[in-house]
Amino acid sequence: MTLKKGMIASIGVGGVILILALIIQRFPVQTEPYYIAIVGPMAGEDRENGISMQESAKLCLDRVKKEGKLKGKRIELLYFNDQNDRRTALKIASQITGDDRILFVIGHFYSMSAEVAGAMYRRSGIPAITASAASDTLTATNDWYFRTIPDNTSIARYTANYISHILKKNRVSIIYDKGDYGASIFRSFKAAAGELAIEIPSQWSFDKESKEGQRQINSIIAELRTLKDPGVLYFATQAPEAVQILSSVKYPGTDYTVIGPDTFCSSSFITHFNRYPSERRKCGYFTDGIYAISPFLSEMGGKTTHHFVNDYEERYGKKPSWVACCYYDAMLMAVNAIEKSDIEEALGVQKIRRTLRDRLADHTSADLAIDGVTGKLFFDQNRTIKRPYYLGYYKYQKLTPYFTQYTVSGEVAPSERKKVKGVGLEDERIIDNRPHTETRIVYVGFDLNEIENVNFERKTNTLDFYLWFRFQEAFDKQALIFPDAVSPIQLGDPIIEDWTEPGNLSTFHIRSDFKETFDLSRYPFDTASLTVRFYDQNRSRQQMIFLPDILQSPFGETTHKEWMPSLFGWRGAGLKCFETIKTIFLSEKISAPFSEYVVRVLLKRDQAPGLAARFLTPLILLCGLLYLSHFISGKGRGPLGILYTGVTLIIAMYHLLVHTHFPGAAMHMRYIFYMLYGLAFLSATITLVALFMEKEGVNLAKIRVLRQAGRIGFPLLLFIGGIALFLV
Amino acid sequence: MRHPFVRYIYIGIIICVPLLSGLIFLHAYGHFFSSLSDFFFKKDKIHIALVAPLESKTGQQIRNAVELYLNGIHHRVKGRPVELHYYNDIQSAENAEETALEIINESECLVVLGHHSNIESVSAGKIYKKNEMPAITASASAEAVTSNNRWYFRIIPNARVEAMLIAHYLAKNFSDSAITLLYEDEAYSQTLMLHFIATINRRGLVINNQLNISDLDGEEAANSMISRVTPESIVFIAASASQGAKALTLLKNSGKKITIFGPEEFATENFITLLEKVADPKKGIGFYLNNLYCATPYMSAIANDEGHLFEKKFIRAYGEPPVWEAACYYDALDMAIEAIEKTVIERMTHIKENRRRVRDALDGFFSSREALEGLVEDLYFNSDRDVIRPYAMARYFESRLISAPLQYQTILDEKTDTGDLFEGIMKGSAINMDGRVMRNISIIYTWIDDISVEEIDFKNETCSLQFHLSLRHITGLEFDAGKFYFADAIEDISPGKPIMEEVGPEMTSHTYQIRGRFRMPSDFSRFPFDRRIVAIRLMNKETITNTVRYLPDELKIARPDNRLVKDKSLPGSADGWRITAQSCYEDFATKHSHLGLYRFAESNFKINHSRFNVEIDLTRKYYSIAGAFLPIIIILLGLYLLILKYPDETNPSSATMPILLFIVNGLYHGFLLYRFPWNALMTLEYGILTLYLVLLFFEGIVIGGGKSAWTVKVMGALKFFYPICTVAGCVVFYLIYGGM
Repeated sequence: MTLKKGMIASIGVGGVILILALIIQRFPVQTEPYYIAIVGPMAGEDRENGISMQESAKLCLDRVKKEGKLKGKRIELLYFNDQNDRRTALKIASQITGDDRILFVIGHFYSMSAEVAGAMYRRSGIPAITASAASDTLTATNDWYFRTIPDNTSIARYTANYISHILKKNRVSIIYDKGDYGASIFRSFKAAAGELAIEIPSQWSFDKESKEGQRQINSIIAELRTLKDPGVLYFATQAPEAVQILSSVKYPGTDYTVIGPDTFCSSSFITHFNRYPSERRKCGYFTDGIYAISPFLSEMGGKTTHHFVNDYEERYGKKPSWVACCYYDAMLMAVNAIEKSDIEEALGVQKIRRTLRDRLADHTSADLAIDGVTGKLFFDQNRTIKRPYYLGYYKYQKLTPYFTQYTVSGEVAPSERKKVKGVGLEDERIIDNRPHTETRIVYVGFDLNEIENVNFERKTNTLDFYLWFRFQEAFDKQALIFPDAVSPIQLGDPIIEDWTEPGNLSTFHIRSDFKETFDLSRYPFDTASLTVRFYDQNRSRQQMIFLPDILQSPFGETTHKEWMPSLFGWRGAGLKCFETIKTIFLSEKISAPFSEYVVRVLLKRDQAPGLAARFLTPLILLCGLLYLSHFISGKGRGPLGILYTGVTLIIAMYHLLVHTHFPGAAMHMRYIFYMLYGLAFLSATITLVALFMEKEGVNLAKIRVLRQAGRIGFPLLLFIGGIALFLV
Repeated sequence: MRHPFVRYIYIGIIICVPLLSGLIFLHAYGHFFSSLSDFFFKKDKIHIALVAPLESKTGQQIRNAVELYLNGIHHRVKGRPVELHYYNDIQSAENAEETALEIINESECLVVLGHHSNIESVSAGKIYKKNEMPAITASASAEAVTSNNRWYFRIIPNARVEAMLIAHYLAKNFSDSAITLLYEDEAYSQTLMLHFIATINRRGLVINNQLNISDLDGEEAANSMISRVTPESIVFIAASASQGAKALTLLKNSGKKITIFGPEEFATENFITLLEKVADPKKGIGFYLNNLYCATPYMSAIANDEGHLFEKKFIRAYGEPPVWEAACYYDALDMAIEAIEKTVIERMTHIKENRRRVRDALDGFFSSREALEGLVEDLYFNSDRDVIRPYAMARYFESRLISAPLQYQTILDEKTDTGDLFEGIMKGSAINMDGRVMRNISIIYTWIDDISVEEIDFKNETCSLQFHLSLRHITGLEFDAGKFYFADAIEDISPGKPIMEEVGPEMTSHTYQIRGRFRMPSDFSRFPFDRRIVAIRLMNKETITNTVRYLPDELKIARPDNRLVKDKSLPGSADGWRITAQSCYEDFATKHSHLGLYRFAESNFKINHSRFNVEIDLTRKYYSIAGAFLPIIIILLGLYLLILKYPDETNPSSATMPILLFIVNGLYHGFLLYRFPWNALMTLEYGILTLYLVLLFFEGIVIGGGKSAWTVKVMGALKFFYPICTVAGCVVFYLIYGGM
């Protein structure tokens, strides 16, 4: 007995220990986390930028954690509001450097805050990454500061090249703020303009910090109004002052070409304009046609960008700004460094920070780059990422890529490009010591007129639609390939051509048959997806990108309500238009990415619940009938035989009908039939066994138990089966 | 002994049936309860005044039109009931003033619709202006009504626009003829005259004769007028209905071959009445009216889809087509209701403030972006609170008013619509009216008849048709048979050479023999009460602009031997079907697309193409419908047999019958699913699914109740109630689903 008790006791203790171990492993003792400080304008006028910084950082960290990349390393975020003010920035920097839990700084937003804080970070040895402060000296003179966007010199060079070669203007008047930001851009631009023989007929400056600032601005406005042709107006200023000037001189009817830096790309730029009733009453009254140089435009990104944009939109319900994109990359670099570093407490925070800084600095070439949202992330000798700036322009308060962009050449190796027809060398231009290609942007719109002949057997349908292209330089529309078309589509003559609106417009009317793959497995709750896709077979994505037109929202719906033509038995569930990147093999070894435009028309069945009821009602009632069979006494042998035969017959009939109506479709509905077959078999078996037992004179109590088992088991099995089907 | 679960079934039924019935009742008669709640909770009503010639047929039609509108909105706006107050317009300035004062002081009306006549509107307008009461007229076209009166709005174009349009029409189509202008000293006539002369001169034409017809009572005056009218000329009678009727009679009696134009007053019932008084009864009213042109603010020829829908509803409700005043007052009420919708209405004690707000809201319809969709075109006011849109040009054929072969339509986008606008204006195919550019629309009178249905393939939803297509248009129109197509044709059908062609001085007609296969989409969701429509739809090939309208040829509609389908016979493949209706009408194929143009996207641009439709409705023959119900009838009878024989001592197991019937029901359901597409639930399926439930219920009773006293009692009661409920259920089913 004692031995036995002892055995039981030891087994019990062992079990408890095991359980404890499991619990500890699942819920480890919480160690103190390390932090990444996000520093920016978390409140006030620029809080949108601060919010973007927070959102993108959080998204990045969550994703990295989900991928399990920070094993054993607890990293959280801390947010600081530097109010874009030097003093506050210094104070926060002091706070950060004094906190041993903080490994990295992401920020500051503005150059002036970053400069003063950067000095402290350098002294204290804490690495910092900014994705917005573009001052040249910030990273050049501080080996603890990194930057994921190009510097002011780059901004100026790109701006000058866009003005000269893309907008084809050679006279630019500059308005700049005498502060660090404006002055820096002004100097850089002047140098760049000199290189490209751009004339600067006028320049105005103001000092917004001084008492005379407003008077100076008023004076600029007055002078502008008197000038007949100042050329392009380039604003090297912050948003509020630019808005004040523009609202006084630019309105419909004036023909100023206005271009601004990254401050024109933030939502606060539009927010400032929306204070004016004219802009509120007519969207785009002031802002339509304003150009802006942006560190990044998500439309220009690749697959990684698309995934990020989708994730961001899904999480935050809005499109990410350039701030979100670039700060995501900053965060990505930081967590990448953390992932590759040993950050045990025993090492000491100084060493950890140095290690992290060194890991960051390792990314010095394309081979060692990280794939970021904005492209390949690697630093030059000044710890700055070199990447093109993009030219956006405003229409209806939305900043969209202009019709021509500079992208870095190199998707297809130069030596290979010559070999392949159609993907040839374009005119390359050297900007910032790197070869660039002009990439054409073509905006595409789609309006559906009719859907006909939806044939699930042949998997085809007929679509009648308008397709319009908005572009700057003509392109060969006959080179467009529609892979889903049953027979090749020739576009023919456009029904509309217009050259008066920004960009050239060509609209075509197309009516053709398209192939589809229908997924009927969830009938009648299935969604049919009718797809129209095309790409230009002669131009890779480096040369041409198709993007959804502004009159067709990039994230789904068209701009007017009646987009869905009538189609008997179906209703519109959505219209999605987007660009994807299609890799095409040009030869055995050479492939290139091509821009493919995709339109997806989503349809749901009308009366889906009714169609479900058409099958579910008789099937459920058959279950009822089967259940009732458990209550028919032994004397009802005749009806039982008819019942089971009839029920099985009807189930088989419906099953066959579904199978013949949707041949080849693996439908979820079949599981309902299988379940019913099973229940019918079970019921018949129980009844037959009970009858047999009765005949053999078995104890009535046992027969009663069997029958009760059937009466209870049947609904239970039905319930479990129903849950399982629902989950499936 | 009854099993316990049966009790739960009974309880469930007792709860569910009344609940379900109550819900259905509320759904069907919900508005009854809302009216009841209004009565008890006294929500402030919205009052609107209507001033019209109530004792005339026109007035009655106006009344019908506004009632039709109010029925459509369930007599409610902003959750408040709407009440219309009717006042009589007797074309008297004194009456107008009295009516106006009564409306302002003794009623809580927020807005006045009317007055009907010019004389009353001008007089009442002064009172409304002084007392700040907004008014909308849809019939008084005199400029003085809205001029300098910010409280008066007009939903039809004014007399100035009317005169200009008539002049443009004349200049475009009768530029070679001499022009005579008849006028009188009255203000309305003077307005017509002035603007007519100015426009004619601008078009480079001259008016050969201008005759004052203020006094036509004497023989001398009459003869003088007749003698000065040139034969083979065009005469524009810019006069009121009374003098116009006299002048018309004299001109027609003279026997001179002249083409006569009149203003919109010539398109009214009042004009016909006045004409009847002065015309020679032996010649008949048709003699005088035949070939008389006049302008009218509304007719089907210029109506849009909303207008056509209004006409259909009006005819269905009142059995006759609406006169133009009815249609225009429908629009006026729509405008008034929209304005009230946009207004914050305080309690009726603040009536003056409410009226001011309504007026301000009316003022808000000042551009195409804020426009209201009317029955002809979008409605919005210019700075004089007038709507600028075209009049319809009409012509009498005997005593019926039909569309003239050319109309005008406002261009929505000048850059795209006309190509070279300046050239269009120079040629006369476009006119500029107060900044709104209007384009010529050619009317092609279309007719399809002698339709022979050669084959119907129900499974593939196609049919083979052969028919005659007649197209009649103004001589000189650049007509190209390749420009139209049949929208439902499976393959392109080329009309080929016409089998008959007639070129007259005014009109040219072509007749084609067409043969082809057409789509016949079907809506089987109402099976067995479904209909199939054999349709032929003719429209222009794709262009952005609509320069042609295909109107049913009213000359052919009027013919007593008119028929669409030859012999009304159907091929053998359509056994079990019969032709129940044939119709032809015009509507619009509308495409909502801005085509990528920013300026289209910023306006209400739609691509509208005129479409001529012939529809032949096929429904199943009664025996075919009965056949569809046969299995269900058998099942119901089988059930009744069960009830009657219950408890059946000769068959100890009554549970067999419901099971057998269940199987029959299932097999029939399967048969239907095999035969028909699965896109929608069929009407008959509701019956089948209900039967499943009923059969299971009976099975449950039989098994659960057995021969218990309670079950026997229930079955006994059902012997009486079952047939009643079944018949009632069938009647309700037929009423709901079988209405054809």
